[in-house]
Amino acid sequence: MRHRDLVRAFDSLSQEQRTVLLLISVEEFSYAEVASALNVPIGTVMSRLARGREKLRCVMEGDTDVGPSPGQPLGRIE
Amino acid sequence: MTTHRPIIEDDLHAYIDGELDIERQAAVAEYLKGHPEVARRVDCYRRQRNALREVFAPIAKEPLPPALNLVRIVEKRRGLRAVRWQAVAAAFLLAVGMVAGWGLSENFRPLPAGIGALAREATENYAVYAPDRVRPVEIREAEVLARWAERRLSRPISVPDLSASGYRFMGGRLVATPHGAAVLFMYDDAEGTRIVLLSRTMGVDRDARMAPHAYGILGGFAWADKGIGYSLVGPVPPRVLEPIATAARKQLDGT
Repeated sequence: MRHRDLVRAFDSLSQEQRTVLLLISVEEFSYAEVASALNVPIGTVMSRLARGREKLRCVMEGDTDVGPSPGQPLGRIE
Repeated sequence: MTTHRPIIEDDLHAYIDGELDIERQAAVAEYLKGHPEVARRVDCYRRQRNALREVFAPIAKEPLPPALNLVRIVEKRRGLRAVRWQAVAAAFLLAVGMVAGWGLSENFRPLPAGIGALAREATENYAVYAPDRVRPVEIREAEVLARWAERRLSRPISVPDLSASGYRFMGGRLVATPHGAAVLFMYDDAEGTRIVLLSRTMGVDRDARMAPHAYGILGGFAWADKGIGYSLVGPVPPRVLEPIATAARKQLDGT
């Protein structure tokens, strides 16, 4: 089951990543609200979110080609 | 255009979560058109977001595993905001004569025009601003708010500290009433329950003893001192609210 795989992959994330992913993806909190609720800088929220999503993507798709780290430029717009 | 900042990884997530301003949103969309491999990844994140919602949203109301304690706390806050505040606002707007500790008991007395009008204005402003998730207050710093309000209302303004009663100052704003500009302070407790204190210059009832008022499930206490009226409003029972109103009044009298 796709959902079962997702839950399993979700369980493999760190507690911090799970919390941020749940609050933003499911509860639809804003980044600022999550930062305030967890008492961490907004940049920390964003990096946990990015790392969590990327890890989830790799697990879900068996993809080892990890994307860039949070905060790294992807390249300029032509 | 090349005038934009480079797109970074964080932008992709902010793009998915609707956190970007319109200009940046457009810049990311433009970038994705030229970078199909990144676009695929963004699409994957988006599907992942929807899948998480499908999986977890139905159980959001059920008890969460202990590992998610923090989520439960925040979920509780969300619940308060999403459900209780909306219910409060709806209950008020429907003007249902419900009684929740307030209402047709001995606490309920129609208040004289001046204080009665003030009580109604405070309750109306509560219904508008307290349920607001995005911007319940305009200014968070007590001193900045006081300076602004002093300039606009041409009188000294002090912000009562209700932390001893368990209510934290969230901020405030100037609001309009049929009797001129008023200043609204908002506070919340550890559970996220919000109360407001509205204050304006009084035309009548320039000095009035503290008296309870109630509209629907929103109760309050209003009083006036030396031409300035105050009304403290919240969805809490009178026995809880009265000592808080008394604490506020003492502080305001002392200034």
